[in-house]
Amino acid sequence: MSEPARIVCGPGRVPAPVGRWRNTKTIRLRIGSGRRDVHLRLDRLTDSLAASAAAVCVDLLELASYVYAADQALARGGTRQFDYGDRWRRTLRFEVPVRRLEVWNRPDVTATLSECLRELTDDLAVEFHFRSGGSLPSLRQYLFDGVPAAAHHDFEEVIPFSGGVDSLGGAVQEVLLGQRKVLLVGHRSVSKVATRQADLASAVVDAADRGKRPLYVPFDVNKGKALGREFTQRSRSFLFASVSAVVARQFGLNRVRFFENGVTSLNLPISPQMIGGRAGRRTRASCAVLRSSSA
Amino acid sequence: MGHKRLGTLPDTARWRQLVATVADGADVAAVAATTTEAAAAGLDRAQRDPGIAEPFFLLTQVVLAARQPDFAEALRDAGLPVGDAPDVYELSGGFTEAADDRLRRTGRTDLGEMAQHAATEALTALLRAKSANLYETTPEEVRRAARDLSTQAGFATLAHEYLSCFTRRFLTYHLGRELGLHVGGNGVFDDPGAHDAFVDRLGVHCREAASIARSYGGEWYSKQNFQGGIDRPKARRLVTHCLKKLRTELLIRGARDV
Repeated sequence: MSEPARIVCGPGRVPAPVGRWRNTKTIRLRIGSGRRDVHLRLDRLTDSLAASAAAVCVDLLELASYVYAADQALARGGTRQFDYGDRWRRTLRFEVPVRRLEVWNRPDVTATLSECLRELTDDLAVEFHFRSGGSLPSLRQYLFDGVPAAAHHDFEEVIPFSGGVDSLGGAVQEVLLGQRKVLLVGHRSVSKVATRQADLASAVVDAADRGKRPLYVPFDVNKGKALGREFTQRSRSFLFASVSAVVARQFGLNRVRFFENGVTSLNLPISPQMIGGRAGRRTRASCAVLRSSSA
Repeated sequence: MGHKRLGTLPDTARWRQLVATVADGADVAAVAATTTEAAAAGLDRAQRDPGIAEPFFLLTQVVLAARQPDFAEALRDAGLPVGDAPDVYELSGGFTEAADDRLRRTGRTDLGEMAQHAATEALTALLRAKSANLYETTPEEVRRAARDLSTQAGFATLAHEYLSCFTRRFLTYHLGRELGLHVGGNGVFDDPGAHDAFVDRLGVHCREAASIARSYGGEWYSKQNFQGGIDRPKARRLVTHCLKKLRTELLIRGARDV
């Protein structure tokens, strides 16, 4: 059985652990630019959009970034020995400072979050403990490379755009065939993927009719080198769904379209050794995030 | 999104023996026996894993529910979230949810997941086969099919199917790390079709090996119902016993064919 881990997020002093978490391994995560930090950066939003971001949206962005980084900071066992999933399935407790404590402490919100992440990551348990964050930064602090406000109008929906064949196919279908003006929200986890993703987004923009050109909204969320212990990134679609939901909310849109291939959506294993969440369960969990964020 | 990782076999004498057995083009019986020996610790662990017995216990509750005047209500009492007239797919979905719910409480492992899938596969296959007709299957036909499985002979078939599916999943869980490396080039499988044919033969072998538990499972079911009913500890003892017998059977069959 893997050792339970307590993940203390955000600035300030580490709160004293309580109950059964007293003697467990503790990981500290902060958003910043150092080797042990979680890196968060958004591009292509206007200053005014960022300034008007609801506090709960900024909370969600930070929360998704912490979850994504912690998922990679805690190893899930090797690929050599047979431990029948003991180390693959972890028990995690996130302690996160938030701006809207009354929202995050709602039982339906914490239950949906825990269930969604447990399903997505295949961990045994994912708990959340929220605390009041005091003076946390606004979305503007994470905004770089803003664009003029004139660029933002008439969008119909958001498409999470990794640059893989599923989301690229979806972008082509929506923009070129469906003639919809969309926002392509792209996660850049590493720089070598960023260039390819930007090239593909540009190709879609160039091929679109003049009035239907999509806006590519890339964001960077990754962890400092010292935090990298696990590469499976089961929680990446939670991050994608969360950022897409926030972008949709900022643009006043109520539709995010996730394009996935059917094999992944149905969680069909590609090999008998791929048991449970190792084959990926992103579609169901993504739906849960988007449903909750629209509520 | 995210990355998948495929494992390789541990570098120990027993697993190296398995690699050599596969590379030599040995038949399924020998490969199954060598895998069983190498994965002995996993089989031992399976006997203690509550996740193995739980789906089996749930199978007994589903077929017993078919003997009640209100099948759907009895299924709900057993923990399956189904409507008033479940078809095969709703029943299978409800079964998966109920097993999921229990696994969440007992602690989820790969062995438990394999058992859950094996039980769902066995139940779905038998209900579908028994209720199939030229037209759409009605909920009443599904109930009748489930009731057929609630007799001693019917439950023997279900227990056999469950153990056969679990054995196949258990063996391919380990073999999946190696078999694919022998496709094409100088490998023993000329192409993916030859690989799949081997896995199919392995499935037949597992079914034959699991038949040792067939009549025993039926008799156990009948006896327990006569003696006050089936509970989780009883179901667990039966599964433990069957896994021990299966292990011996796989080793004997391998030795016979080598």
